[in-house]
Amino acid sequence: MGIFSQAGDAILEAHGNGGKLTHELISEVFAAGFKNEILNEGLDSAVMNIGSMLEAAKKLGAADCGQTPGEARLALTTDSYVVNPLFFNGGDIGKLAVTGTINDLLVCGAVPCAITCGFIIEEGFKISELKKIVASMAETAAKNGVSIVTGDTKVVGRGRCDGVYINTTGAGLVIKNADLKPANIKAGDAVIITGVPGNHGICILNERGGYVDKNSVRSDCAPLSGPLISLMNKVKGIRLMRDPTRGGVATTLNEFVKQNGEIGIELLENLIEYDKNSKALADILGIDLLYSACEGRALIICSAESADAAVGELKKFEETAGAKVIGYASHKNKGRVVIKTSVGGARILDMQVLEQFPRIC
Amino acid sequence: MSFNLEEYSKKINKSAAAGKLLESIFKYGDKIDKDCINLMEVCGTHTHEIFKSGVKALLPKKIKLRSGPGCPVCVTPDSYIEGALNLARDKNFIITTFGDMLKVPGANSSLKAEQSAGADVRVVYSPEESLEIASANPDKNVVFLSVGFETTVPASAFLIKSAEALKLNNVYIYEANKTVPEAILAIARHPAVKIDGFILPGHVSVIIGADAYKAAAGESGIPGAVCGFEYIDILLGINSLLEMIYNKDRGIRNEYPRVVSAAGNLTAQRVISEIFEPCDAEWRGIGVIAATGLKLREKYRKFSAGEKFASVIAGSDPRQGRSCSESGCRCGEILLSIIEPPECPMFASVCNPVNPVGPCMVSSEGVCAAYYKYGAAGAEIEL
Repeated sequence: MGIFSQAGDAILEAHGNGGKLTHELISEVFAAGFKNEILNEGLDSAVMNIGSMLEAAKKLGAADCGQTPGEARLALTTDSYVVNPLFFNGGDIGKLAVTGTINDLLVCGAVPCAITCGFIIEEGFKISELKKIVASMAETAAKNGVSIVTGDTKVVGRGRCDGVYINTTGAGLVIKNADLKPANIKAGDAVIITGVPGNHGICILNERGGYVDKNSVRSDCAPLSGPLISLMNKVKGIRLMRDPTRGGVATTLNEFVKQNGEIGIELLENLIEYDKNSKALADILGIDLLYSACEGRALIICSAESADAAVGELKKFEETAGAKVIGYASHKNKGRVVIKTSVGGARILDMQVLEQFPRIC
Repeated sequence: MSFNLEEYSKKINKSAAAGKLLESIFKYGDKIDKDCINLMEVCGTHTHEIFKSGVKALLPKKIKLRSGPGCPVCVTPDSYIEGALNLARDKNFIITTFGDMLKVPGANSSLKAEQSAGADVRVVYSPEESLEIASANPDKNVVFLSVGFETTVPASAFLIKSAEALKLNNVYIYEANKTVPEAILAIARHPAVKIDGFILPGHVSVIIGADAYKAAAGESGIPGAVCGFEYIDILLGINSLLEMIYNKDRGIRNEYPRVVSAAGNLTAQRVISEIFEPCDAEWRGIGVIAATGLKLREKYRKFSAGEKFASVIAGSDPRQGRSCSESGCRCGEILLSIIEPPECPMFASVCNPVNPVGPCMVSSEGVCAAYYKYGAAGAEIEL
């Protein structure tokens, strides 16, 4: 180790100037954490062989993404992560950055293969904390058979960012028979959620506000590679999947009906279950969990005939053990999401307009 | 004593009880010899639960649930909003507020807009968070926007008590608290308002007690039922009101006895009256109602932002832009349920949650916000 260790535990502006400290940061923290052959080449771009990616996808989930590079379809997605606090019950910004991108690929029917990451780090940020974040990213990626193949580091002055921001871009290969798009939804299709909604959003709110014991509300942050690849391999009639992150379940379902244009969605309030602690805190704060972000859930639309098989398959996996049907697509209420309430009434579940604020009483 | 949510939920066996109550409500609906029975809720949380649960659609057609001035943010007059904005614009101030106030439109701005422009406006869950902020910022004046009914007044009172005990001289409240019982009498007497029964606010009643409304009910001849916030509580209250209307009973019933007592929370009442004394208060859309406001007592007047910073609150520039009523917002009539939100020509067109003209569209307890959110601008739901 060179002068790197002598600089102490704080990120300096010089760590982002492209010089000696930058190189040492990359080798000591990023390359050491993410180690893989492509990254180790040390080139300005990650150079990958599509044939090897196809082989890897096959190994990972027994998923057929085509036999030849000519048959392969590449899915690309990008997302930036600015969560505060950086470490929360159930995850951290590193796990979140890899998880979010993996899930974005999966819900498009793709087997995640490679991820790039861009770091924007505030001057003074602790290198020991950065190492924890990197380790968490590496662990999450490895568990899901994904390599972190290239990255970038920038350092900004103190006060110009909130500790660390991470951008991840993910590449995946689309499973051969997957054809997931809103236009596929038909009246009568089932709406499945893979677990209780809104836990990530309410957990972050609790971490910021310190309302109840930190351990009582946990983020649902989890990559869904296992269950979703298995679902796509084994169950026919999957029309569309999406992870309800910002804006939560309500906003994602509204996207479905608006993009489809021909159907409405009806949810049955009695069927929607919540985490007991999350629900209690959300009620106290005046927050609706159907609008609260999830980072480890998927909303799945599938044909009515496949609904039982889909739920059965999902239930085999720990991260989707709470999967259940919560509603269906309908010819009625075109372009709207409607909830049939427990008492027998109905209301419209609109897309979120502005951010949710706590109420006076 | 700890609160066990699971046990609490078990006590309310919803569907079976709801069916029985609805049956009884329909029976009374038939028996009461009136074309229309108007029941008014005076709590924003009731308004939202009524919409959220879809209870309205299950009631007999002749029973109309009307929303009264139950949202504390909505009844706060324009002048107060402008005053708060003037404080926020001054770099010597940090504003602490409940989240509801943030989006309320003034003539040409809101606290959220001022916050984006650099004003130090902080959302707090408890007014007492202002104490820490004041200690950490000794060169700034920290002003808590003390808006709310009896439910939140004790928290404001504790803020003042603590500020006094800690000898903090840079924390203040900008007073706009209001009290409910006298206001209910004023609504009952309003010539344009026709109400047959009041669904009384559960949270407020925890503090003031169910007996606090007896005088108003006796004087106006209109019965009231204190209700909780589960839809089953609301159905119970409606059934109770119908029974009273049918029996010509002008009393008050407590249908939320699991948390509301006849006398209320005496400790909270003592703290309120130690710190505050009654005063007249202006209610948006209703006007001044005698003895429905609270001002700091002489001993604590030094914590009054309204008094100490009157010139900052008044502002230096003549106000630009138009107040909501000057813009044609009919919040006055909406707050008294003389009209319903969709009857306002601006509802869901000019006035929406992104560009609200009046406070009822943005406060989370506001009636226009409820109509917009749960009714998606008045569209019918096909069942």
